[in-house]
Amino acid sequence: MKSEPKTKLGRRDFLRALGAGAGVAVATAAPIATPAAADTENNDEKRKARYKADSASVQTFYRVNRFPS
Amino acid sequence: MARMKFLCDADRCIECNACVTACKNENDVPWGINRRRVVTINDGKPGERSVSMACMHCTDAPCASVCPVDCFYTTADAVVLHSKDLCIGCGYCFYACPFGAPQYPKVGNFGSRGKMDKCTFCAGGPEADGSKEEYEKYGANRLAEGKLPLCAEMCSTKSLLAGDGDVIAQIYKERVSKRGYGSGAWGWQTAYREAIAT
Repeated sequence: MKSEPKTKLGRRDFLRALGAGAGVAVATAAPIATPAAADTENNDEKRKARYKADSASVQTFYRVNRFPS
Repeated sequence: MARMKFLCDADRCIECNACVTACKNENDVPWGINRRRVVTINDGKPGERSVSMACMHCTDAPCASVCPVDCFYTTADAVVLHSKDLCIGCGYCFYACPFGAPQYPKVGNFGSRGKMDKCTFCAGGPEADGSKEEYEKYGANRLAEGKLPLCAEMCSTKSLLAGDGDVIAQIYKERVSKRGYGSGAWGWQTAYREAIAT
């Protein structure tokens, strides 16, 4: 009886090697990945008042809207 | 502390849509999104009225109440803003808003609509004031520049008022006390005859 020629890397060994390779890739890539960040302004900055009541533009807007109809 | 508000003087609005155009241009609003719209009732009939509508920056904003990722926040000026980095495009705010203010760049189901977009009262968002990132995500930050929303500044008939709620309420009160309101306004009977009362 003729025996089948044995492959050098079996199916299970191949999958095991593939899994180990993927694990190594994740481990090496993890330090490179930066943590997810949202918004550059912190809570106080983004909530601070920005309206400038005394600016020329705002005062002009109020003045012209007061013109009699 | 001043509270930012919009007020549309419906007796003056002529449905020119300049506010809509100004908003889209100033904030580089994407296709398919209108942060501001002009709504007309009784179009072409006696008693026709137009009102310019956008986010009303509610004191107790229902959009913020329903947001599952808590991306909304209210500034010290009482402007309701949101973070596009946190938004997941679920659409809950759209259903909660009585004014239809939240808009999405894509038509789709839960999570596939893209980041929500709405009127910012020309106050940008949670990125550095005047930065490129802020402009690309939220549009202009005119408030930080000492200006008011362009929609109101562009209004040719001075119908759309924006700014400190106390000040614009006073301006509107002065107008109403002088001209009357609705069917009591000067020229109303000439335009719409005596039978029409609104």
